[in-house]
Amino acid sequence: MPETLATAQSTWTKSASSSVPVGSIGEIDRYTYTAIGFTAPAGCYVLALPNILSSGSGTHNTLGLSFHGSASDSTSDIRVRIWAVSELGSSATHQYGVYLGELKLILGSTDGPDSSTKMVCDIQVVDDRSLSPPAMRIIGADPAKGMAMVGFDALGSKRVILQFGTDKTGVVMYPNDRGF
Amino acid sequence: MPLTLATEQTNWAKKGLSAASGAFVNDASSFAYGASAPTENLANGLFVFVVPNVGGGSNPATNCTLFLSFYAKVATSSPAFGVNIRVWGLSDLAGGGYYGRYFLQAEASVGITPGNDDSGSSFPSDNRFCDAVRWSTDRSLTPPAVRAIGSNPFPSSTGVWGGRGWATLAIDSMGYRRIVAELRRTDTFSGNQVSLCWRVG
Repeated sequence: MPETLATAQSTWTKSASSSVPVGSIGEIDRYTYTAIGFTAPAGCYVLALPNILSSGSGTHNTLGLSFHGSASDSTSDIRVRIWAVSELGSSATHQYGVYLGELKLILGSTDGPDSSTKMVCDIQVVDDRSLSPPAMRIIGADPAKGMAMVGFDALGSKRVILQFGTDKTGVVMYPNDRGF
Repeated sequence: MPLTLATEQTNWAKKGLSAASGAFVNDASSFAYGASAPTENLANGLFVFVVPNVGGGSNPATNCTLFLSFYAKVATSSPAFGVNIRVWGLSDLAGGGYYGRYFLQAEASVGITPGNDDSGSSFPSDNRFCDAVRWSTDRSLTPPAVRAIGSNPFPSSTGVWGGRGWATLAIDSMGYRRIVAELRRTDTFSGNQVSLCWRVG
């Protein structure tokens, strides 16, 4: 059964190391509604949240996200936007996506799990439109070292879309996720 | 079994459109008691839906959280408008009838994100989503109270088109069996209509 806030000892899932190009970030209504079924949007990571119920369909209360990546320019302004997606009626054809917010990511000096990558050591909430309270919460942030994470209520959504954006070229970013 | 706050991956249910506008017909006392459950009347802006029983057997229960999102059908050349919302929760009374509680009054602004399903049955391109929602009266379970998710800052008035996206209103559904919502457009332009979608989680 789904657990209450932050109880499940779930493991992290590291997104595949195929780099998604990081470019300009999309409008907040980019995933508001689609009638053609869900297809992974270009330039985005799509996290299918696991069903943890023996019957029915449910997910953990909290979604934790951390990040790693690389940038050729240390002054790169790296952002990620987050949408929560649910379906309409009995068909998976129609999808609703609610924009939850935008984060600013700071690459630190600690090596990441993929070659030539560094951990995101600090996360700043730029725009928080999630369930408030408890809202988006930052855990383990440091100005330079280690790996920070953000936790927020997953709201029973089926999928979460992440789109990275930057003002510089040469940025590659990867998310890691766990439910708890 | 009932789930904790916002965990079940339920789908949205979409209600039909209403052209009702003007002042609310119902107030805080309107559904305090009735001998039989109210019936939906979209012409009068009254939406009624039964919250699914997820308890099983003789242990009826609902999920913790009720989500409401709003949308509109926008007539050609319509000026900007919004929708005023009141919500009640009703529980059955042993032996017949029901008791009801007034939860909230809110308003939503009609935004600029259109539907794109002209060949289907869901959201054609003359439909638009309400991008911002805010409440003026909260008599629900506090805390956590009424909460807005994904909402833009509310525009200066509902006489101005809102922004992009689709906002959601969330409240604790507190095991209520039925939800009643009254929706009233803030304008009187011919052809405009409003409605809601809901899910529990």
